[in-house]
Amino acid sequence: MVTTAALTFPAFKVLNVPVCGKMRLTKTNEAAMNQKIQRPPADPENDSWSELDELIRRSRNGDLSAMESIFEQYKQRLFSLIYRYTYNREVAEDLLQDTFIKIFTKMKNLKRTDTFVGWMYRIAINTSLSYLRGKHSRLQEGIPLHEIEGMMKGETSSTREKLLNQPLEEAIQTLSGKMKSVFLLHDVQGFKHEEIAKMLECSVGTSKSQLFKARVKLRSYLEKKMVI
Amino acid sequence: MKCSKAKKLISEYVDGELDDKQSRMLEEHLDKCPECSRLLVDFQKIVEDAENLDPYSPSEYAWENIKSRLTGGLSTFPAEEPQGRRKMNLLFGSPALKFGLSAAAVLIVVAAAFFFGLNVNRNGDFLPPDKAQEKALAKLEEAEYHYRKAIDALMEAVSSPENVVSPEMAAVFRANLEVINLSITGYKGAVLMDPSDIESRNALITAYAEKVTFLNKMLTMSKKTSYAQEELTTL
Repeated sequence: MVTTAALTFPAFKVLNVPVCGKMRLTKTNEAAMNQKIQRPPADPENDSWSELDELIRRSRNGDLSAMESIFEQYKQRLFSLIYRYTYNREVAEDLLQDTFIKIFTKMKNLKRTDTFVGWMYRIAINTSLSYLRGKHSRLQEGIPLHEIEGMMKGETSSTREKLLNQPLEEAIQTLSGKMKSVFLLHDVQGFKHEEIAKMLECSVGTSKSQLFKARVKLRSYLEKKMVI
Repeated sequence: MKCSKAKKLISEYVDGELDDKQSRMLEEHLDKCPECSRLLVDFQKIVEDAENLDPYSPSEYAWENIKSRLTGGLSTFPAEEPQGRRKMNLLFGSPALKFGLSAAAVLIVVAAAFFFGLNVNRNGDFLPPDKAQEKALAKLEEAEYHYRKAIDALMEAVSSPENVVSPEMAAVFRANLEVINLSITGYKGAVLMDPSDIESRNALITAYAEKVTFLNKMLTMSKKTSYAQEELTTL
């Protein structure tokens, strides 16, 4: 039997979120679980909560070097998340900047600093979804100027070519809405349903059912592509 | 256990979220049902592949841009900012003004680079060639920085929701930008190969300048929608 502590992601350790659900190890899921324990945590560089807490405190006082440290720690994880909503490097760059501007200008209003990581992700998701909603309505009127360069680069960059070689990346593009958010947060970023439920303001049950639906849809796509 | 129930539990089983009793019941079903066993294997493959997806990284200029927006473009941040500085931000916060200031800064530093390139110091004395090149390179680096800032400011203006163009005009813009960006990529490569090559740095700055001019033109044209088709021919 594995202890609860061993199954806890570092993200939970620092956020003091209780772990739900018991684990029964079988030969199959033991290997999977070991992999999960190795998965990069939500706060990759911080071993202790107090270090991030200190960075938050300094950032709230306008310390740019503290903000840069927070940016450096989370830029790749948030950019990867945002990029998979837009699949457009230029747009994702802009949205990442908007996300961090919102984080640093609104962090004074955050009441509980122990929810900081989830709060950052919520801003990133809302910023991305808001862009996608706006894009949909703007397409009815004309092509926004700022998308011209992104479209062009998206079609020719090596990232796009690399993307096409990854069937799962292609499959993720077919997901939409909450299904996509839950899959990206749970299976790609390594969050637990309890954390996801808070980020997306839904129930744990909804998070679990959306993940199931996402996996079924991905499987169906990959089957058609003869990848699975 | 029926397949319909087993399928719903498999997803949680993969994540190790079932209790002992549920797991045992599911495993008994899996032993007898090849279809559900296949679903388990496929879900495990998806989860494993998702964990191993390559991360994406933003550009090296991302923090520079954020910092610039935090310190130069927002009147609300930081709270402890001196009163005088806040007033300046309110005055110079608009993308167009920021672009104007950046462009002016570029002109000054390019002129300075040229000055140092002539091996002349402030007192009118000639500098040793190495020292002169060092100064010129520093000034050109500064010019590159200001051009990038000007481009960012223009891109910010371009991001405004009201700036939309017809698909035809978008195609023309895209083609032109592609050419300019290719030049920038090429010259950036040359500068990376030999950072001390003033000629490559000058060429890169010229390409940046072209992009600034072109973005400015895009902005202007998007606001003249009624004359869009006529203007296209002058691009």
